[in-house]
Amino acid sequence: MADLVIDNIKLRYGSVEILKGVSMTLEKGQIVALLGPSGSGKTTLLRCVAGLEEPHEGRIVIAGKTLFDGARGINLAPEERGLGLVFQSYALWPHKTVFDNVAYPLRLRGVSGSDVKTRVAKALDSIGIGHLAARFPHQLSGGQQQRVALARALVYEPPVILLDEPLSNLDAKLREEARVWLRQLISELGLSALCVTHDQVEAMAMADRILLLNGGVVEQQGTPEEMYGRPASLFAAEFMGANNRLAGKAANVTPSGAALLLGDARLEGLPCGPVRDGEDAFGVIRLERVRVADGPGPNRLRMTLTAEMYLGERYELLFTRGDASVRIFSPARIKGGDHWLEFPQDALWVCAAA
Amino acid sequence: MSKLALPFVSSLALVMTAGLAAAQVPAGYPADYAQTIDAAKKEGKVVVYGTTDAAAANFLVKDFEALYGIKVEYNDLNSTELYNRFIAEAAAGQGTADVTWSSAQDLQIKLVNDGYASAYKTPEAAKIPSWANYKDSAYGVTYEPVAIVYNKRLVPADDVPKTHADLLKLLQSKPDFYKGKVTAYDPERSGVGYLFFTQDDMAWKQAWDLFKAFGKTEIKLYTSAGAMIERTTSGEHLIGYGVFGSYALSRSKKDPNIGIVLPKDYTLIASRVAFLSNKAKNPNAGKLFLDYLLSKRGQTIIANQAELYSLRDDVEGEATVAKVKEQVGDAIRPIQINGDLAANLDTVKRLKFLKQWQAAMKGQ
Amino acid sequence: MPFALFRAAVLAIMASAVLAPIGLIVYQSFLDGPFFQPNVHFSLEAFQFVLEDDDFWEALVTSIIVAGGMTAIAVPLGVVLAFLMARTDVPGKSFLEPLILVPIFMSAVVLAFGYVVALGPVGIFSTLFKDVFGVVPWSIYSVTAITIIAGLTHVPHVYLYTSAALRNLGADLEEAARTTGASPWRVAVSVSLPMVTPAVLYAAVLIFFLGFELFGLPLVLGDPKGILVLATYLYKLTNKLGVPSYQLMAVVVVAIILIAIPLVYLQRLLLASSQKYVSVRGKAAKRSPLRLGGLRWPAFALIVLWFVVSVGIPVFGIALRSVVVTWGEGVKLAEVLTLAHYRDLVDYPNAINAIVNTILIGTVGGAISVGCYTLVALAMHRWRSGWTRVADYLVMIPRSMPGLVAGLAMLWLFLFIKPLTPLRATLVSVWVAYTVVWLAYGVRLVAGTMLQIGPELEEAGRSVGATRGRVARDVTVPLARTGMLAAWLLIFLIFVREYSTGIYLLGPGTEVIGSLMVSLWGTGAIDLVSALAVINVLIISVGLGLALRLGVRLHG
Repeated sequence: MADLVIDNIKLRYGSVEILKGVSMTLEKGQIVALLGPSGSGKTTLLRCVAGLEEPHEGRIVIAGKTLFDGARGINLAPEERGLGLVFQSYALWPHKTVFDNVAYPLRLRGVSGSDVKTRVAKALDSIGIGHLAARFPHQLSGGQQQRVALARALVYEPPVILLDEPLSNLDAKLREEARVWLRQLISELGLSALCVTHDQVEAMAMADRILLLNGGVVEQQGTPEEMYGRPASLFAAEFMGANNRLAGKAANVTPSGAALLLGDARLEGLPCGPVRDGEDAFGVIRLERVRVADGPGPNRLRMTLTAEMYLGERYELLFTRGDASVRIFSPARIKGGDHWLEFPQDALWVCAAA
Repeated sequence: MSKLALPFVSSLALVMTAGLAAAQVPAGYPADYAQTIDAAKKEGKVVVYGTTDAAAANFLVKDFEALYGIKVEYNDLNSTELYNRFIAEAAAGQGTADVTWSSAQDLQIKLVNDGYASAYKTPEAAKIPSWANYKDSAYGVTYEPVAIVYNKRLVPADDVPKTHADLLKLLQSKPDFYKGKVTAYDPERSGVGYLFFTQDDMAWKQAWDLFKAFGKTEIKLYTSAGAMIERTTSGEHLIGYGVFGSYALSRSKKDPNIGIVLPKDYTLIASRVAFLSNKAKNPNAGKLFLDYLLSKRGQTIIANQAELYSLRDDVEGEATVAKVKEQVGDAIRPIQINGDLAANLDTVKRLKFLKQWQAAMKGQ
Repeated sequence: MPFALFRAAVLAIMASAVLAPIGLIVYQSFLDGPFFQPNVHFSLEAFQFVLEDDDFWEALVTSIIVAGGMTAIAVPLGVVLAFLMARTDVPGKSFLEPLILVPIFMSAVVLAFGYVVALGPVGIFSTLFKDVFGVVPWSIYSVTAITIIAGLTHVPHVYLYTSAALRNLGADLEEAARTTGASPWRVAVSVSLPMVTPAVLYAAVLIFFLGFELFGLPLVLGDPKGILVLATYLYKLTNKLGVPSYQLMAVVVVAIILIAIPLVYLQRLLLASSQKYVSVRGKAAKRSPLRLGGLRWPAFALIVLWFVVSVGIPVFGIALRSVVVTWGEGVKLAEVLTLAHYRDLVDYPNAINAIVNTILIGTVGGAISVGCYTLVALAMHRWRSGWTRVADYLVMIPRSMPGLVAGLAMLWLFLFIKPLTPLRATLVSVWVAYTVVWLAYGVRLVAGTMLQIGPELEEAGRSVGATRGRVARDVTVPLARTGMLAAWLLIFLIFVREYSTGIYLLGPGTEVIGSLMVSLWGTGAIDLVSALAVINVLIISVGLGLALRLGVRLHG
């Protein structure tokens, strides 16, 4: 059974529509990432689930319990929803110690004093900050604060945990560690989680499923592999991963194939979203799928190497041909001048330009 | 202490002093006065609203308490506050003053006429001049000459006016020297001022000449005696016209710079008027207090400690009728405590007088 | 208790506390006699009389001139002071900071009388000046003087609002302007000041409104020349007709309310536009103050000069008056020095009582009032509802009643509303009156502190399972604690100088310093008045000093 069902949620501030009918489900034990650029409504959706914003239409159900139903006028208060929420800023109460921050939800639930002690200790130990119980939030590092915030949201074992940009306040190095740790923790504890992020790498690393939001509607949803490997629109194609974009015209569009005309050259690819013959179109391809070929051939273009960047474990090379430019990854430096680049048919998406 | 305990303790005190009551009936009072005293002691306290400042009133309060063992709750209010508070409380039926005692003579008479007073003929009535007795309901308690004060440092000895006419002449002969240097109550903003000036009008045919002279010398008008006396002693003003002699007297004792003149042509006598409320919770204690104020004992304190001037001729001391007469002879003119005072409050009459006053202030 | 119920209850209690006196006054304005007397009828005569009275229009015009003038003086000066204190390296900041607020807590009557002693026609400084230059070029008994003094003494209000806004302004916004090549002064004028404009305008509207209820200054300084403003016009009105006519007073109050309503509306608009700026504010990081360079000491001198003129001179005047027998032209002060006034004060019946009551009502009463204001602020806190607009107006309305009328209305309430009658003769009634009249001020203070708490800290409480009420108790209030302490301090100081609202409720045993001063003033006992005033100033200074020593900060 789905742990969380969100059905056609709509919300506006004054005359501005923020969510225009968003639906999704979260299965038990899954992590779903709400991904999207800023202003796409992802945080608002999360806050709707938490009960901090009130939609004007739609339904939110957790484990069979209706939290919100616009039609029936049901809107449970945040505290009645029993969810765990981790804020982007962590929102640790500065006047309470770590222990008191984490113990607070238990005390609210009338847990006895000694039980509070053991459960808080267990929660803190399980995320490795048992020794910090007596400190105040301002005495902690960012990473430690994040763990306390998580412990506070987990300690009362909510059915679903909501994470709002949980990693964005950490620096780059810490963020990667925390990502792994978080993913592991959630699956170990068998939690269901809804996680807001604007970082597609984070979303793919952590989530079982990704919900891509754009302008208040769901652009596409699916597993990370589907989202990355089979985008359904130009927006989805470009939002995920690092991409090259080639401007041309579409031709020979069928359900299983489409060609991109670049002046006299022609590349075969897959159609991405609705696209018609003769229409202005973009060919989108991930950087890592373009490769240097040894000579001319189908789906190959001759381009000139104009710049190279050393990234440590590999090189990034920039090729140009007229107005078009293409970036690729290469394990080694190659000689300057012209090269043939191959754009594999199954990796090139032809999307309508509009 | 709880509310319940208080009446108990005070009634205990009453029981202990009850035996003495009969002996306390003052000389010359009817024998049945003992019953009033007993009833008053049962009431245990008397609530007084007065305009006399607490320091002066305190001499009377303490002596009365010592005499009868009845507590006095003395509320020191200004005359408008007293009026506002009294009529509202009377209407609410929540209990109000047993005795009101105010220098706003006209407002007091109005309250009597409006039916707020309880008629009571005091056993002291024979000793009280008839002008100070209004229908055996309200009584004048003091005998306060309305004085002219001046700054002894700065007013040349020859200039000090002995009469109203002197003052008029002085202002006419030295208008520049006294420009902006004379002060008085503002009849437009002060009830006392209005009362005094209308009395001047009735007492002296040249009153309006004086008022016009005030206008020409740009008199400064105030709403309180404090402001007038303070600014006269500082030299900001030189002559203060129409000030309660009682205030001037107590100030002059501390401050050698203040000189007091009781005009020899006529001196107005103001009197603080007291009456018993018909809504009194402690009517008997109220009677006792009123009688005490008018008694020789009370009046002696008024003359010698409170410095409010005693009304009775049989009292000796500094602030007494005798001393006033010593200075001005028979030129005393008590403001009659009668129905005419209430007419003073007639709006049409007031507005007419004030209009004339405004013209006078422009020197017309 | 469900939060909605709490909200409704608080709003209902507040509404009745505010509307009862106001409603009574408005009702009274349509009658032809005191509402509590038999045979009173509905009548518009009171309106007719007041509107046809030349004095009313004169007073109204003077009030508008004074209010406008003092706004024009207080606002620029307050902004400059706030900017100097919040943004520059002017010397002696920590010492100047509390001093700047002092004028708020000085009783206007005391200040005004202090000016008379110091700068009046024969004042101490005036006579010194005259000895040297031969003339006294100023007169403090004029509309101009009243306006200037009122303007100077209202600077702290502007200062409070502006400096709070400046402190909330992100340093990055200014730094951004610096990096594009603007000089510090350019940044101040073209970035910082425009950003705090809504706060400044908000304060300006407040000052303008306060101009209409000015009473103490015009009472004392307007007396000699009979200058009338709306609040002193009430006095004259009473006397004109011989007996107090409440319907006429009520009409004047209705007029002031009618002036107040559009002003509150304006404030709401300004508040909304200031929030627009809040949403774009940057990080409030530590920033280095602007260097004034050679202007450091002149800036310091400016602040000190303002303080000396608006507080130093009058307090000096009143303090001097309290230790001399007499003063003025031709008096050698050394010969008239005395401590007798203070001795007399100790002997004065109830003087000690009054001092104790004043302290009690300031400390204990002030604390309970802040508690009440906190409940109101909590009920309105982050509430998206049209009711908050109603509450905004409710909170402001009591300020429309001049103390004289407010006091009378409070007496009526405690007389004619049965459940309240037992309280009338106790200090509780005085406390209630003070609390209602200062509602607007107190609620703003507390609500402002609460708004500075990050909303997510409260949301976190909700999401882990705490009800609104629990969040208020466990998160909002503890986090607003320092702000509430500061509010307590400010309310203490205000209650210590207040009296007019309680004037009809005070009786033997419940007198306060302010009421004692007024009754002494009337009988000419200026000696005692000045001694009492000095004691009042001392209580205020000790309260302020103690609180600051204990770590109460006047703004967060």
